[in-house]
Amino acid sequence: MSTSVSYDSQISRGSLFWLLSAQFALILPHVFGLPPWLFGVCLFCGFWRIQIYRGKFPFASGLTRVIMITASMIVVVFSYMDHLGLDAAVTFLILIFFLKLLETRHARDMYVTIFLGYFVAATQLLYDQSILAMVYALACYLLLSVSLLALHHRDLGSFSVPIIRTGSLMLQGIPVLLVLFLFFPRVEPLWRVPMPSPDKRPGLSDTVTLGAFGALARTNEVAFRVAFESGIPPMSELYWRGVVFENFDGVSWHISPASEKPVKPASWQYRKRSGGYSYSVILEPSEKTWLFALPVAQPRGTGLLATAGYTLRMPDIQQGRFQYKLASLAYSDLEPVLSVESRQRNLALPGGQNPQARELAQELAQRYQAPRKIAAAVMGMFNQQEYYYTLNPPLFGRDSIDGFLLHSKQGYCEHYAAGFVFLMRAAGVPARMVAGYLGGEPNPFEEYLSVRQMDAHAWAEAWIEGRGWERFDPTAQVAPERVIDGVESMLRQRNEFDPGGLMGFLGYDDLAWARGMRLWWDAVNYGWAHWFLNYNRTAQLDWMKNWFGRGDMGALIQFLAISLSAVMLLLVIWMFRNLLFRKRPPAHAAAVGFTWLLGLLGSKRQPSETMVNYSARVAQVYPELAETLTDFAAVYSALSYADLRYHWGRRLNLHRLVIVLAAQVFAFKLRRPARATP
Amino acid sequence: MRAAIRSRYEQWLDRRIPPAAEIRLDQKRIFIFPTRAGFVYFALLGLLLITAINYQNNAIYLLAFMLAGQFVVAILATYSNLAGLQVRKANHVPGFAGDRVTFRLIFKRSPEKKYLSIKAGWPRQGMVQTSLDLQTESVVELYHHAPQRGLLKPRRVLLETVYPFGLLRAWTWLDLNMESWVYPRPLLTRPLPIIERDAGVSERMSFQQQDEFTNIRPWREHDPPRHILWKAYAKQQPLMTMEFTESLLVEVWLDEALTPGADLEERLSRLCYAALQLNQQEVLYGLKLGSWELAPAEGEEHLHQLLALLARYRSTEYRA
Repeated sequence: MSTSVSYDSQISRGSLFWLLSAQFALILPHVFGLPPWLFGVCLFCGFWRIQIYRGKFPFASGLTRVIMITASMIVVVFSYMDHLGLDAAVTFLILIFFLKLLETRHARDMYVTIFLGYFVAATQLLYDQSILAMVYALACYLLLSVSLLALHHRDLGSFSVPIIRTGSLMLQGIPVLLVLFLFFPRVEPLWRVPMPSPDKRPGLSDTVTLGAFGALARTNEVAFRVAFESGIPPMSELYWRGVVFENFDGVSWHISPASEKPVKPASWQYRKRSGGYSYSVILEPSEKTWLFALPVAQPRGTGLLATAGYTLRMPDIQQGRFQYKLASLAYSDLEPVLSVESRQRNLALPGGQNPQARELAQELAQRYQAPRKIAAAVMGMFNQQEYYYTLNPPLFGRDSIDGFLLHSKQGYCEHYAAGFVFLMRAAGVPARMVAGYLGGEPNPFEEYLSVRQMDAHAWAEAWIEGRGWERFDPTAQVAPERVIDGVESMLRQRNEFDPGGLMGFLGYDDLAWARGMRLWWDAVNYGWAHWFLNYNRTAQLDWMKNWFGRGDMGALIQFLAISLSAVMLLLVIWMFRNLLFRKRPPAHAAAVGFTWLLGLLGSKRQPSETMVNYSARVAQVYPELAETLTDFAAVYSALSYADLRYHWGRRLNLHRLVIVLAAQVFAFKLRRPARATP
Repeated sequence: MRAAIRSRYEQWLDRRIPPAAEIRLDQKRIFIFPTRAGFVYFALLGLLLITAINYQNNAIYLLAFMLAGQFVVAILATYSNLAGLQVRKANHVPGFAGDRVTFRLIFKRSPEKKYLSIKAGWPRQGMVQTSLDLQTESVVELYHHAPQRGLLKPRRVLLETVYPFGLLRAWTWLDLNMESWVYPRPLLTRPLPIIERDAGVSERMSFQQQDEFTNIRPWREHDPPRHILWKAYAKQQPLMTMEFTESLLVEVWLDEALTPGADLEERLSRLCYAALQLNQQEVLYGLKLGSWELAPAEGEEHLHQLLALLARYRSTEYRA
């Protein structure tokens, strides 16, 4: 027999209204991202559809539609000529989604448009997987589902009814969602897909030229978050080593390809000491593959690359957050034998710039001879002379190191690190600059540390004969509070903290509640990244192993099947509760308990007795209980005979009275036997 | 072949949902299957999953599972939107051949359950959509074509719903033992094929009905109301009564044997038209159909009785 579901029926006003709201919500986050012409086209389509509804405009004819679709396809191809990829596809999808409006004449077109909307809303999450983006996408899904519902139920009435009805249906789907999310096996990508073009993101740069660090130091964005397995180490030990700069061209410092060469972590040369930390890091999306770690860090688990510079790298630039686990060991004698090339690289000072600094280095070398003593002398110089830490140092041209070291004596970490490395090299000691982050902010809500872009730091490493690479942080000599308290409080003390600027709402940290809110929100984001975004195949199987003792794919599928059936069964019971269970009056359970308790005292309720008569009769025999009994009878009557089914206060009170009565009755029973009732 | 499959299917339906005047819908009687939109939704779900897998994107996984959850809930909600509904046959309004018959069903719900957007009817004859949310009982009028004279027994009536999201369709085919007489199609006839009988006097053939009124006189008690000159009374004139000659037609007979027409159906159609005409005039009319005879009388009930005879006379049952 033929089906008669009417795909040709006209669209209800409600459904159209909800669809247009959903479309508006979908396009809203794109206002600044999309090319302006596209936004215009979308608004025009919406306007046209409203005019169709009002009977002012006709539906677009077949020819118009073909022309519009071809035209937009051409425009999209031309706008994204140089990078036809995901962005172009998403733009085109959005365009189709809106052009479809001009022909949504029948229910069939509505289905297509709404389904397209579900997909378009999901593509937003390719670019941004933050909590807010997720919540926004869910809200769009709600609106789209409401328009789907309105398509089948015309007389929905008020504004809130369809939202509540759809919302409650979607809420009932949440158990299924949870089970699927937890147990659905995460598989490897089926084929390679074009990735969204990365946004410009803050992060360390791969060249250091004196005077280019300032802006970075002021952004409040989180670089990564770290959860230690056993307590957070002291701040002064939190040197998050990321990248080494060995090549110096006279002006700028560059990363040497040699130090980026992948090696096995086992081939790293160092002497292990007792102590160390285990922790996991969640790195925010970054344009680099650099991973940050406390040296010397051995990766736990696979998938990380180790370099000849004793740093760690991820295999590819990650679109989203990246989580990795490390074990950092206390060490000494890092790379005790330095190769000839490496020594040359770390001594090179090409060009003839900065003659004064070179001269100073020669002097120090002659006076102190031993590398360690030279280093100590340079550190002492920073400490004792009039050096000053500031984020706004004067700029020098060609001889920037001379200018900084001997004239202005003002600068920030890079200046000090660069000055130190320059002097060491000029004195014949291999040295290099290291960049990464220093410190971090412990979050009081969760056990972890947030490291922000403004915690970016540069320091130096010098190679001492017989001892290998040692860390020297000249900034600590100038501004020890930078190392001990972190950059934020230091800048505050120096009034260089700029609340209105790039600092964002860190600027309001003077207000305790604002700081609390910020830390709380940071904790939420950390939790989101840690528990949700990084719930990948490994996490899934680990979790299964911890809880159920089996961490393999077969177990996963079994659990998926079992829990899905269980959830469905519960859902069936919930939805058909009216058919399955007899509807009892609201006070029924309490009344059963009440009569049972009094029955224990030997006073059975007569079939003809009302609750009020019954309580009164028992109260005569047991005056001690009179108060409870009268209260109960009063509340019971109110609940049973007035329409107060949803009067939760009274229902609770009724149950409370039963409990009170139970206590009294049992206390009573223990003391003396039952009395005869009239 | 097709007919064979169809008859097997109907036999199976008869076993599964036996005919009854009142039926409560339960799992034995309700069928459920995704709609075309439901299958497209599934394709969308697959697309989202592939996107989530290829981009290793947990947020998109979540959305895909959200849609999956919505589908699961929709299965139960759609089924629940028919389950427990009580359907009962009510009265019907017979019709003329070529017109339609109106059947009435009564939908009844238990107080704690509501039913929204249920369609009922015969697929090729237009479905009626109804909701049962404000009242606990409602009457649904279904229209059925009446192609020919006789006893119309409609096929099983379809009840279906795609509420809430249109992704699934729950339906049932009910046989509520509905049937209705279909009167002959009225066929314009002038003059009317009647036999007049003057009260007490000899029978004579006539093809013209006569209203010979002779006099107007003041109103007296016990005058039949329909003889009163109401128009004049409305103009504030005194109450007057029209007086008819004693030879006023008291009763007329419709006789199939005397009716012109090529075949039985045509003659019955003419008789049908004549009966409808006579019912509007103040006469008593009776019917002779072969050996059947219906004594002259007047009124709606009499008319329907007469029309039912016309419908039954040498007729066949049929399904449509």
